[in-house]
Parts: sequence; structure tokens; C-alpha cells
Amino acid sequence: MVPRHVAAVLTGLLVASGIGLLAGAFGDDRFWLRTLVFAACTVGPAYGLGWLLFVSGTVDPGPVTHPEESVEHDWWHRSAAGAFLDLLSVAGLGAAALAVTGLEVAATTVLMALLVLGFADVAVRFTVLSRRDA
Amino acid sequence: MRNDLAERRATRGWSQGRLAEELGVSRQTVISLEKGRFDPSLPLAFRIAALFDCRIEDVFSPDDAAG
Repeated sequence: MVPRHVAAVLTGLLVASGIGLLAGAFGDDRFWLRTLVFAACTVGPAYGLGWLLFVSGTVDPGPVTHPEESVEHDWWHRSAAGAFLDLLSVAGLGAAALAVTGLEVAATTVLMALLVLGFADVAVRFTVLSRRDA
Repeated sequence: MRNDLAERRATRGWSQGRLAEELGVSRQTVISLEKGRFDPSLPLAFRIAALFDCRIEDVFSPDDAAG
């Protein structure tokens, strides 16, 4: 099991370093600063990727052998479906508002806002469902 | 959908955790099932029926079955 964790950590470091170097290469100045900041910000998710590749599935699954039939799976599906419709509505209304007002908004800002909204929407819906049904 | 899962479980002297383990689902799933707030999938309903050695309709009944 230890080699798998080591492989996950190495994968995280490699992927984060790669993303950092890419960000540094595409920047106009402060190559190492951009590289370090991007690498530091992505090392967590990159380690998650390594964990998925090397560790996930090898740990003891525990007593839940049919997680897809658990109520938590149902809550997740309902939350994700609801959040998806919310995102479509917000994106549509936002696009209409921007078209009418002529406002210019950076694509990174819009994408980040949609991402945060999606995460928050799913989290709130899941929490409400679990409190209501529990 | 209503069910008598809690009664059948109590008859065997099982905890909710034990039943969850037997069915391969989370304990929360058993809690929600017993409260009638979660309708099981068909495979899970079959496993429940097999576990208690009965038919699915012996355990579960539609809400409007009583009229």
C-alpha cells in the first residue's frame, strides 16, 4: 500500500509542477513566481488525481458493497440534477443581462463564478435533502 | 411507499447497522427506508425480500394501498 501512496504523491508533484511550468511559460514575466504559485495551488487536486489512479479501489470498501443503491447516492443525483438546471438558468440569464447592458466581463471571472455556484448549489441541495430525509 | 422493514428487522433482533451490512448499503439508507422516505431500487428490493425470505410486495406496499 505504501508504494501506491508514494506513486500518488509523486503524481501530484509531477502534475502540479507541469501545470506550474506551463503557467510560468505562458506568463510575460516572473516565471518562477508564476510557476511556484500555480504549482502550489494545484498540488492538492493533482494529488487527488494520483490517489484516484493508484490508491482508490485498493482500500477496503467496507460494508457498503452497493453504494449506488444507497440513499446518499440518490441525494447526490438529485442535487447534481437540480444544480445543473440552476447553472443553465443562471448562465442564460447572465448572458442575456450581459448582452443587454453591453458589460464586458473576463472569461476567467465568469467560469470561476459558475464553478463556485455549481459547487455551492450541490452542497446546499445535498445538505437540505439529507436533513429533510434523515 | 410504505414498508414493514423495521418490524421485520426487530423480529430478527438486528440493528440498523447489521441490516445495512447484510444489504450492502449505508446505515442511513436503512433509516430512510424504514421511515418511508426512500424508495429502493429494484435490485435492492429483491435483496431485501430474499433476506427476509418473502416477496417484495410482502415488505413494500404503495401509499394508496390502504385506500
